[in-house]
Amino acid sequence: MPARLSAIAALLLGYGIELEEPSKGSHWKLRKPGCRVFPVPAHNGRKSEIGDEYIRALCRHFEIEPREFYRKLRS
Amino acid sequence: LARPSETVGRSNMEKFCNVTVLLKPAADLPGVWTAHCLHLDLVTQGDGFIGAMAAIREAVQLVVDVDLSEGRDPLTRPSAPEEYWSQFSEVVKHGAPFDSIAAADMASVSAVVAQLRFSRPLHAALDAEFFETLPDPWVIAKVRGSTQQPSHC
Repeated sequence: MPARLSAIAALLLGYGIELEEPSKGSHWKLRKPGCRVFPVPAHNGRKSEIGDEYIRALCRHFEIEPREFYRKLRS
Repeated sequence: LARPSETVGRSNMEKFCNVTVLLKPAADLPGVWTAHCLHLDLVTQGDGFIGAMAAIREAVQLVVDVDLSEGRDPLTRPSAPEEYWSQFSEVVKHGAPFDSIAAADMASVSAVVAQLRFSRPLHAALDAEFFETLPDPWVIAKVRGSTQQPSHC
């Protein structure tokens, strides 16, 4: 199920992950202290629709339980 | 396939790193393709195959630049889970060179694998200016239902 980047970003704040807008390019950065940066495809800014394949990779990278993440995303 | 292949370039100052990309139409976003760099486990998306390919090129470059600026080796990132490598193997096994696919069959392409090549200096004190993502050395596509062997890969 795709989700809007603004909704994902708001949820990620609860995991200590912040969205950083770039100075160039269409990818934004997700940052969490102690973790490596993870790029976000934001071709339409915060209105970008993000697909399931990306969300699962995001969960893997930041070691988030995907079911829990989706549950929070839907609520 | 677990690590990026590296070959020493013409200059001792740099290495060429090849990373594998798996591209597929997004199941949940019409017209959108996802691009997955398996060696770095990075996923992005773009409009169609071309848009996704451009997006993964940018994402890989971003990650390499940031990792190096933070004193980290991007090639030590964990690679993608085994299921994605199995999909990659399936495309290589049953796919055909991308440019050999007829225009009429393009809509039936179910997955594409490609290779990104970028150069990096050997030394730890790295300058992002050295980085350049090079054109894809090869691209292989799998058409739905196809079991043909590639003529080359």
